Amino acid sequence: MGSPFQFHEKTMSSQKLPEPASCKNCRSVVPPREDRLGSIIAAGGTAQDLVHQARCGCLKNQNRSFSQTAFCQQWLAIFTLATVRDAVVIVHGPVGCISSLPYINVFNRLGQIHRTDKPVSGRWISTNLLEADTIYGGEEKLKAAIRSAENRYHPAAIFVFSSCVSGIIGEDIGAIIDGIQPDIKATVIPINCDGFRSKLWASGYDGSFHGVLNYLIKEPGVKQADLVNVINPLTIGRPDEVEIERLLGRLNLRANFIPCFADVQAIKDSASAALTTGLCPTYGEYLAKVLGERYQVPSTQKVMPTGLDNISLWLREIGRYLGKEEEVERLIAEEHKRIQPKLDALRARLKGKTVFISAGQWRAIGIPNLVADLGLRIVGVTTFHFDEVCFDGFEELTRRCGDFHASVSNLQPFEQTSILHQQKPDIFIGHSGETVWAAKQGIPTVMGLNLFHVFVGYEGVIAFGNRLVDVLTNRSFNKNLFAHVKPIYNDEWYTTDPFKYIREEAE
Amino acid sequence: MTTIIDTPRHSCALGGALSTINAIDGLIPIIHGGPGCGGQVFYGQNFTSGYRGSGALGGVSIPSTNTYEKEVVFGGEDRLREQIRTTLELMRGDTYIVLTGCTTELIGDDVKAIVQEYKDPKKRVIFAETPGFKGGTNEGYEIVLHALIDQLARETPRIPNRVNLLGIVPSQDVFWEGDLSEIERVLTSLGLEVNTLFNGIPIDEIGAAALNIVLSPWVGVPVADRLKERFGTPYIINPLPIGTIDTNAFLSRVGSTLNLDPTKVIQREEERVFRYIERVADFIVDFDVQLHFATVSEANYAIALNRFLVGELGWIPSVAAVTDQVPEEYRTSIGTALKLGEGLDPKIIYESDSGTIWDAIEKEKLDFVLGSSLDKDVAERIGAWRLSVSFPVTDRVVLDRGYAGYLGAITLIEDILSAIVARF
Repeated sequence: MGSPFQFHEKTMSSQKLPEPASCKNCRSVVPPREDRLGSIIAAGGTAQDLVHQARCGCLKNQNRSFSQTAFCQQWLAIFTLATVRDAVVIVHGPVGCISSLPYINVFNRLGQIHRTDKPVSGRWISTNLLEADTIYGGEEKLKAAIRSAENRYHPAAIFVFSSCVSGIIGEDIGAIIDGIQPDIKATVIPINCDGFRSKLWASGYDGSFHGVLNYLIKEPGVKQADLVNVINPLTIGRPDEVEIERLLGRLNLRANFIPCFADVQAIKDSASAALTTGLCPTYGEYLAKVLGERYQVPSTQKVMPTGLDNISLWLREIGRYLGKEEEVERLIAEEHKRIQPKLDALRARLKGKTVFISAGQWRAIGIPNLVADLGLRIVGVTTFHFDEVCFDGFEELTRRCGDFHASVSNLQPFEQTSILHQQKPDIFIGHSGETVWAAKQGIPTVMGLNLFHVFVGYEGVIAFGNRLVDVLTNRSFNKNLFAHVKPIYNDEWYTTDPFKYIREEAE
Repeated sequence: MTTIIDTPRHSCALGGALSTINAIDGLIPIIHGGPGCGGQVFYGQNFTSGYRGSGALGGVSIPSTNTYEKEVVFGGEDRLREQIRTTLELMRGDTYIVLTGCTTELIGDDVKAIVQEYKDPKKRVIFAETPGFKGGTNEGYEIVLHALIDQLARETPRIPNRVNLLGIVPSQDVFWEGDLSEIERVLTSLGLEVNTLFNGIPIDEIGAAALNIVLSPWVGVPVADRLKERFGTPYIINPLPIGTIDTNAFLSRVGSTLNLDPTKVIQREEERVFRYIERVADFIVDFDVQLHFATVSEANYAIALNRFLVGELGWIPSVAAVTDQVPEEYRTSIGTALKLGEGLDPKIIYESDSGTIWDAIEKEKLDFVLGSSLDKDVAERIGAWRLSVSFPVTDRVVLDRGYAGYLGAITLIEDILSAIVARF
């Protein structure tokens, strides 16, 4: 049987982070989050159970005896850097490991349109590893891909992502890159993210940021007192950035949004910023932390700025670090006053409606906070993983909303189906990919990562409230869908303990 | 196939296997592979095919062993046994197919031996070896069909008017469902019963057909060979027809093979198509819509589009970039199919690398590009009109639209001309 993770031994503060790649032979990789942060992907029960177990350090890293496909860390690593404007993505693996790039490109083009640019597709190259390459190696193909990227696109940076296959056959992408870098003008950056090496797809963010930190961000630069790094996930859209720019602008600060839709220079400039914050602590924690350690850029990543309490805390932290406490208090008071009438109207419409939220770690705290502001009642929260990055936030949520059903699950719509069948919430808010399964149960659904609507900041509370009103105003699509789809699980499943298939990690 | 690919236009063998299985009712896939394989190829093969969704059982609902470091180090066979047991318990169905991924193939799990442990005829468990490094989407389709033929198909009496349609790969042919239903419609009007593989006829009966029709110049030919070997079923290779000329020829060929007279059907359908063509003729003539065009597509659509646009719309072809990795032995027949007359033969480029394709297109003087959504930027650079007709398609939503046969030709004319007027 597996031993429980000991959080006090695994915390960021107690574990030394890998050194910068000051020498060419540096081969450091970030430990996966299950080792570095004690992250787990399987648990079920109540929110207070989860908080209690987290506090006493007895959360166990469990597994499932039945599981459904999800995402791997490589996918999220690619998501992290695929929209860097003057870069090329190379995936060193079979062609399938790059196949969702046309989908990521939809986000890319949409994001450019929202930034009033003429959209241009991203650039991506597969080394197309085949059976013979698994025997003889794929070094020559990787070199050919790097040369092709350089000659055709003349990028500032080339990101080389590893894969399960390149990992298992023992390709050292860092060494291959070192060998070819002298002939290449672009900075070539290895991203170690073999899909099988972590149960946490969030480890992929770290792999990408680790590469960026070691190969791109080399100089501290000249400090810019009004520049704030805002680490932006691809799934938080331009309307959110507009709201953040508005709020920072009121404090006479400029946002440096990195890495999505940034160019390489903006990423390099992050070392000269006055502060690093982010839109999602789960996403940016490693980058923020290391920027602080190496270049003395202070960072605050306590919350996602979603829901009134979180926005206030997010702003106060900025005020505290940059000596703008008074301006921040004025801003908060003004904004509260400004939106109060709209908030009251939304509360009158939404009060008491029940909601179930499934989302990535910090969104699973941010969205419940937001909907609680609107007067909805949280009946359950599923978070994709759980670890120290969210302990405080999750505990705060239980203090505010009382106890509710809680589970930790890397998608796994089969669990969700059973939970929702038993909970029957008025609204389900979820992630792309899983939410359609709730829709097929006839439950009104709202997407938790809608790129067209703002959901951060003060405007986000109102916009998200309006979205919730809409979904309750006309429920016919999901209702009709439910009436016409066949269940995919056996009848008993809908009334069974949803966590039946969670088991201890076998040795 | 052996080189790097800039901006590929296909997924891997697992992607092709899953998109094929997703189209077959009642077949439950179990991925024995990495945690993200199913998600990656769902978004990278299904969703990018005109936003084809999960369907009855797909997307992130697909059972998967999600092999991590532990399985890579110690082997994944126990984990697979556990997952098969729980999947049989939980997922409604009677036929389950284990699909191997790269990791479990590299670590050498003996999946064949494991599936043989399951002997309940009401809960059949079969397998297919579909690691991504074995090839692309089309290979995945063929591997799955071989598995179904070898492990599932029964000896059944021949049904004299039954035909199977092979060679159309769901998702990779973005218009697969519409194309197949049009071919089914015209063959049904000849008096045939059509198993498209995806229209509800049990896959077990694949051996009952009197004729297998491979609707592609090469994809599915090995499947037809396997069926011939096992059931003695004859086959014809007839790439997907678009328009009256090629669909008439297709029906005549099937008719002569199975002793059916297609004359009446051909006459009726051709009249219908030309009723519409006559109606749109004013627009074509008034705006002088005789355009220079390029195609960027798999061989099947390269043949169908070039033949239709040249032979029926009277356009002038330039480049036909053939993006699937067509084995050498099939290239002669593709070349013959694209011999369209003096000054009317497209320049055929066999190329999967999009960068190389774009370089070739930029050298041409072109009015119209029929390609994928990936070709948006190059079409814009050269100022050409454009329509997404090949994988991946992310700027259109596709449900039952198809371009094959008679009705498909009408739809294609609508879509091409609409792309032009949409700019007005």
